[in-house]
Amino acid sequence: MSSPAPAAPRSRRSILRPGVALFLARRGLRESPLSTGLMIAAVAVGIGFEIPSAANLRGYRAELLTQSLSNGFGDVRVRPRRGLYLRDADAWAERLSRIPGVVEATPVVSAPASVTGKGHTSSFGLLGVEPRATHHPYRLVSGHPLTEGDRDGILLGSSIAQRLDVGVGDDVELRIMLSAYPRLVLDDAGYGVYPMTIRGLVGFNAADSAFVARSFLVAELGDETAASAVLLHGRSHDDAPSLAVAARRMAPGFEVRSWLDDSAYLRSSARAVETLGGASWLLGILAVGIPVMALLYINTLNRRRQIGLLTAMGFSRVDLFVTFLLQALFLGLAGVVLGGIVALALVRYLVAHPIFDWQGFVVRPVLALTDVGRTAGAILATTVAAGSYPAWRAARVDPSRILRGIE
Amino acid sequence: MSDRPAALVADGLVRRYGDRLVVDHASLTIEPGETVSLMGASGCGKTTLLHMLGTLDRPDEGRLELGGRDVSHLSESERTGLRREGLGFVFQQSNLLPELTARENVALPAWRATGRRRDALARADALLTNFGLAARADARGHVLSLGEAQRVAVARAIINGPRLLLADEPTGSLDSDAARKVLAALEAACSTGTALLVVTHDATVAARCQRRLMMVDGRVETEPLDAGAPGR
Repeated sequence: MSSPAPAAPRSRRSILRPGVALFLARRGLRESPLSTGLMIAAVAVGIGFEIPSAANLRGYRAELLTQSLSNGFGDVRVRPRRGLYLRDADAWAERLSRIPGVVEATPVVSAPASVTGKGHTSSFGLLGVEPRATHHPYRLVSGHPLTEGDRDGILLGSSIAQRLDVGVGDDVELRIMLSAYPRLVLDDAGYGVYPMTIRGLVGFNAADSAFVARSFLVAELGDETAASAVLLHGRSHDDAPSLAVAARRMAPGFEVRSWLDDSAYLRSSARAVETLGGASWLLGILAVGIPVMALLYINTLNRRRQIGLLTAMGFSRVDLFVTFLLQALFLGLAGVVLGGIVALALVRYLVAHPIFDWQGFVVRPVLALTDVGRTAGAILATTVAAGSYPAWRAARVDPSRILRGIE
Repeated sequence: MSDRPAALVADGLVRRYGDRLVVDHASLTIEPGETVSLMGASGCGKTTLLHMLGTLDRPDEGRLELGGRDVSHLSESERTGLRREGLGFVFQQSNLLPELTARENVALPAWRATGRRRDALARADALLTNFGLAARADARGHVLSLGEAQRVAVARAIINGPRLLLADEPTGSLDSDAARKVLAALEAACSTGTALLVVTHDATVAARCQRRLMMVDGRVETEPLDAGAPGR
């Protein structure tokens, strides 16, 4: 037989080439397709659940704030400190709208009222709004908006309409308590009675309210510059506290409150959504990390003989740790890509088929790149972290015991 | 004896597992290119000794030199480097990494040692051709016969040109024809100056070695001279 061993290589490397580790990691995963598939599936399910879940919660929070603020009472509310109405409301609105970050300031005026239709009567708070404004304290669910100078049109809350059994185009009788003085409440002279036509129905937050053109209501109240409040709408709901500070500086004689101070329910709801999101995120991470760690650990146990052989060949503990850690990284990357595709498909489906749709309150997922990046990054990191213990165990295998079949 | 240092010098190696003395002051020397067999009853400590000589296990006492270098007190990473560059192993069975082909199995230690994949594969091809396994280069471990797998393991063990080849019952699971081919591969491996220590139960294998040792109750003894002439 000819000499079997060609000249041994001269240059020696003590540090493992990444190519060798990548090769072994890839081949190791291919050797156990079932456990590899399960681990990728665990990661993919985590991503596929977590991203749509975060998007839904973000969508819910956004809709809640939109309905309550953009289609509600604004990010900052400016009200009189004393009395029911503030004077020169349009002038104040114009000044307040110049605060940087404020996109619109609209005066609204309110009065207690009741409406009668088809023999039924319902009481509520009536709001006079600016029809030409971009932001209104309601969202129209059917019918048409009010027009400037509309004196006989009303937008009725969908719950009131349901109680009265009336709809768009029906005529109703509106009774407005024009006097703000309690001693006049029982005095018929304090009421104005108006025949109105329902122009449209409004939902969710405004379902138990009604709206008329402010010009009509203030004319009846006897002061055409009056408003109960000026509502400020900012570019971002999160800017409300700073806008409130600026508004307070501009209008020190008024009561100025951001929505965070003015609506404890809304603030708590928004925080609850954030807390739920955080808890769900954490559970998702654990739900990925635990099975991946278990499966990688089992995989390591099953490959102890190979680990022993690699050790005999001169693979160091660091080499083995890196190789097994790379496996976890591969799994994480594959799972993130697969789960990302599933998540995006699910988000698209949920946009078309919202999980909640009631009286104009529609929860559609809002996909934020920060959520995707944070979730993908965290799950990838979790997978690698979950793989580090099995990798460490692989690196600590006693080759002598393994190769003798003792372990 | 040549000027080259001994491939292996073991002096008074002791290994205990708990209270049990498995290797009892074992001493032996193997010269470069020398082939030595180690026989003994099951459980007498042969494999434990082999693992200590191959730096897979640490002796509790004693001194070990490989290629003239005292390796008794090397760190784990230094021992790993030593195995990578100076030692080759062939075990009784399950020698191959099942996820790799025969060619990749052989090339892996060279790729690890040099970082040059193409060169490693070329060397693996050359070795497989020399061992008559060129046609099986792309077969994975579970497709190869036991004899083929052992020859692949021999090729892998010598690809980095080790000073010492340690074989633990390399023919233990083989029929006579396959065993003969594996022995031929081992002998060929030693033709370039690699020393061989083969642990075996098979007197035929032992008879082909230049020197035969016996292990009795953890002690290494020279086999009686009437056991036969060296086979090489």
